[in-house]
Amino acid sequence: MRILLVEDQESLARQVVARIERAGYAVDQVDTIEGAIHALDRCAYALALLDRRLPDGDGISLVPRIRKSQPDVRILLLTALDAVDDRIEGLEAGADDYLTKPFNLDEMIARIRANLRKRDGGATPPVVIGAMSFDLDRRAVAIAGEPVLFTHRELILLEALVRRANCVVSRETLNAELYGYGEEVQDHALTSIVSRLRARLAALDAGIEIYSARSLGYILREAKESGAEA
Amino acid sequence: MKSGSSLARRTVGYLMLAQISAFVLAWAITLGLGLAGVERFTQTWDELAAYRVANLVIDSLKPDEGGDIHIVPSAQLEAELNRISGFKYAAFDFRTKTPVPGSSPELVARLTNIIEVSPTHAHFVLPGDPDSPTLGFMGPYWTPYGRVQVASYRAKFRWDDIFLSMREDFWNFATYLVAAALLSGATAWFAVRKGLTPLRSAAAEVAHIDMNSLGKRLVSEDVPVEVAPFVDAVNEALMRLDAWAARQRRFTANAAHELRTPLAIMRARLENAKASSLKSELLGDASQLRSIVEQMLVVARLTEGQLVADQCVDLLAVAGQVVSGFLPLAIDRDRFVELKAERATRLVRGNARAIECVITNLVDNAVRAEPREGTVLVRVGDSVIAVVDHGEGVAAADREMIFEPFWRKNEVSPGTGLGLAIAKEIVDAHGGRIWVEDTPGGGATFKISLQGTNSNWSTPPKPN
Repeated sequence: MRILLVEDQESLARQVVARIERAGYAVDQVDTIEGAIHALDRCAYALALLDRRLPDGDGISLVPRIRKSQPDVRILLLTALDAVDDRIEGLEAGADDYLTKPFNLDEMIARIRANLRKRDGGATPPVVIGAMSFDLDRRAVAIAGEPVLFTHRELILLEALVRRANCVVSRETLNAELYGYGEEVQDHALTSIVSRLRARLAALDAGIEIYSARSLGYILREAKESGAEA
Repeated sequence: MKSGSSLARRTVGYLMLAQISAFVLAWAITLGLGLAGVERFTQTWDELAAYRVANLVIDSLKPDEGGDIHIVPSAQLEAELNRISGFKYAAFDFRTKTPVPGSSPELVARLTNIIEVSPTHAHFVLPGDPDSPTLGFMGPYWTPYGRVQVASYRAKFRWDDIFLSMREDFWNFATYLVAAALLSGATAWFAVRKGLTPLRSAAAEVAHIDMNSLGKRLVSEDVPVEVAPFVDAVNEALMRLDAWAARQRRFTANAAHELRTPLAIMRARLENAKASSLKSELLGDASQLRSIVEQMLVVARLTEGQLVADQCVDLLAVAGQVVSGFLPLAIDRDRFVELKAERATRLVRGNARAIECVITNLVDNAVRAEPREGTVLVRVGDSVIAVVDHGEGVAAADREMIFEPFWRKNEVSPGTGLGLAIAKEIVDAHGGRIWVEDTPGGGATFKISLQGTNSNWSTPPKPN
């Protein structure tokens, strides 16, 4: 899966490229609209990250061109944090999602993963956290290279958390993933699945920790090496 | 401010002075014309002496045992008789028209017929003297013994007669003069007060101008032309101040805006770095810098009017966003942030982004103050949000000062002293309040209270 990044801020672009590559995706970076058009002629992309302020125009003008030449590309706009109108404009122009600048790279990866979900064409790179590797395409988990089996619900929960690793995933989102929207959900059901999953991961020495953020949701992170900061 | 003299009082004073001067001037002109022989003004210098001499005669009136008055020449009258040869005087009872004993028989003889008609002013010459210039004058005077016609003949001018006769005329015209002075004084006072009314309302307008309303201008239409230059000058000064303030705001906004990109790059670099305690420390610093820069930007945009502070904001949703965003960093640094919602009104009036910035700043500070393994609590209550840490707390004496710009407890205390000052500015712009309390058991609890929204709030809640 290939991602196109259209961003003219060189230093920022470098860091974004590094982070995307670390997540296992191939990425091409261009710094102008013209460059983006050339790139779109040469390669097929799964997702495009467009900055709005580019030297040769507004990144939003690329949206219809991308839609025309490669209709399946998911488009994420990078907009300024305070420009609410920008987001609306962007979504109206046909973008799939937006990220507000300055964004955090974990959040960006989570958004990329969310947008590339349930897509054909090209393998989604596995997510590696601690000793665990999660293959999002096959929903297969390996810990320290050994395949591990989880129950259906544990797996759904783990996937949802892994996709947004290092970010808080709200209880609503998790419940929706587990039970579908609109279903009557016993809130403590989620709590008990989380604690079961937590126990399994601990037992398997996965190097992963799931923190509960009360009244918000859960956050899955690589466990800290004990004593590392002493 | 020291107040100067009253314009109304001064104007009235000048007018009074003008009235008196006008009287003296008119009198002198009349005299001049008279001496020059201009028809209806014609008079002689000696005519001026008539008043003085008449008064000498009146001073010489003395009653006898029977109550009848006689002329017993006073020393001054005697002196006058010695000074002028041919000087004569006479007095008649105004009512009975009989001469007062001691009057000059020649004058009595000459005037007996005239007295019959009770003249208010008579010019005459004695038989044998030339017709002109007139040598004798007679007129009625009020004396302690009733009204008396006093006549004098061949009285001679003395320099003090100018003053004396003018004084006499002044008393004759006193009512007119007083009435004129009073009326013109009152008119001047009224005109000044009335004329300055627009200035007073302009002053009231100026009194309401502060840093946030420099865009206002005084209305100069009703202002009198004399005052208009002042009002225009004030308006021009306001314009310059406004331009300057706008430039400062733009500078702050631009500076903050420019700082964002390098900060974002720095953060992205750090996020890509290998996990270490240094990384999490630096990420923490980057987040603090960012929170200050974002706050500066928000303040600049609030004052510029680019952000409006009257949206309906879900305090809990905003707090949730902040806590969610902060948690990974806090966990990196062995602290935890917990959100607690109390059942209460959580919709407030304000700007979501501005409120988010303030909460971020408070949470950032709290995570810094929180001891290792501690939990910062973010509690959302009734239009109030509390950020509770368990650090050293804020001494009671410093609780007001910490919201002052650049205040630091001492040279070695960390921080810029800017974050809380900007936070206060934002909260103030929301018509809210920010303060600090003790956390029971130790630590600081920062609280922000904001205005709750009315039940008939029309704007739909901002989606978050």
